[in-house]
Amino acid sequence: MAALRKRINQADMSSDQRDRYVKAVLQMKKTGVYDWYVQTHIDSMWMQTDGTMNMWAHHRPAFLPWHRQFILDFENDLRTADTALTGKQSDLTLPYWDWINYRSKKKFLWWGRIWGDNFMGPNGSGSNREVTSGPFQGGPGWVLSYNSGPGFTPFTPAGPPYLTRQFGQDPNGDSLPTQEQWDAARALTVYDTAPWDQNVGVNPAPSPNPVRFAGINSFRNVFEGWVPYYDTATALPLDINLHNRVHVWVGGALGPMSSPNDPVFFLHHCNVDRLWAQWWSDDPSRPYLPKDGEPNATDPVGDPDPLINLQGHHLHDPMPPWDGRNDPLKGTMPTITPADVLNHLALGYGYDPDDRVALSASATP
Amino acid sequence: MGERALTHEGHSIVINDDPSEVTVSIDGEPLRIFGAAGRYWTPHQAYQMFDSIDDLARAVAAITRKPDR
Repeated sequence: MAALRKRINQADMSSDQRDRYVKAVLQMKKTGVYDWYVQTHIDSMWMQTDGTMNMWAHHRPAFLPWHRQFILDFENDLRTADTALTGKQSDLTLPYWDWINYRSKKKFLWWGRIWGDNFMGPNGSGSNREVTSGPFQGGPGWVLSYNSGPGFTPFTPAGPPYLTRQFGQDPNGDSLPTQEQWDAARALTVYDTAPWDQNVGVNPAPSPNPVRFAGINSFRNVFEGWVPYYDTATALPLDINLHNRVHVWVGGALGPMSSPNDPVFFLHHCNVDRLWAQWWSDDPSRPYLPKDGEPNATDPVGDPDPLINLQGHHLHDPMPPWDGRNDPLKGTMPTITPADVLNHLALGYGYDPDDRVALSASATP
Repeated sequence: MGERALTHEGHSIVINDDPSEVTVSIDGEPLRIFGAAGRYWTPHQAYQMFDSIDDLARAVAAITRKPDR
């Protein structure tokens, strides 16, 4: 078996690795490969021309496996671009942004690296919150895309063509997630449950939710970030949490469904993937849910599509766009189901230093 | 209930929250909004649910390009 690729903390990247990473991303942008990821992400949560909105990758059980395949494809394309630029077989991997250990101005452990002008670039500034320096500043080399794919309704952008950020300015995301919040999510033992959407585990007002997510039967919905977090029974809740909270904290271009326009998206989701791997490694026998044959549900409360269509979310359903379709850019897409990606080690990568020795690529979830 | 106008961060917002058809526009551009029962979602702020249409409109206005550029 080939050696595992090791995905590392962005703080541990060498200056050469950061430089090559940025150049490869810019090369992907130049060739149109990067914008395939923006469009595919838009399509995953947008209306088709027939009026349906399948929410393949958000608000639903496949949130985690869909994004695992999404960033794995991105990593492979990144390595292809790096190989083309350097003339050598690429050893780049996706780095992760550990936003838990990175949450206050007193504990900005590696602030200057991720947001430096030689990597992701800085916070936005001015009334438009424009990122005005670094490799992804506004200009012909980094024009944001808001295109949706064939068969989807156009997404009229509210955002500008240049990258924007507004760290911590949204009152719903004025701080990054904490270790306590992640520990509370990690303690949950059930992957997901009916009605399989963003309302799972959310008590209607004015009933408070359980303190520290206790007893909620949806690790997925808690980790995606839709369940209010109460630190104590009398504390005011944080409404937006964990994965979602990071999108809101960065703000700007990371807020709309076109969020991969900000290249920090992939470092964020690499960390989401790493934490899911931690949760799974706590007990690899935990089943992914819904199992095959689980019927659709309905849930009219605040849902983009009240019909909870589970096609694409069952254990052995192909996850669009990995359903054998002919993609204009990528050709024939492979068929990938949640079952295919539950064990990240079997996909050929691991996380340094979190993966436990007890796990193996042959472990069966 | 009904149509009302407000401004936020230099943007004009028009909200019609008639129960039969909720619409919002910012600087004349209509927004897509989904939801009911006090939880609203828009693809322009895709990682949040909002407790009111006003909150949603202000949040989108905050990331909307200023007319002066």
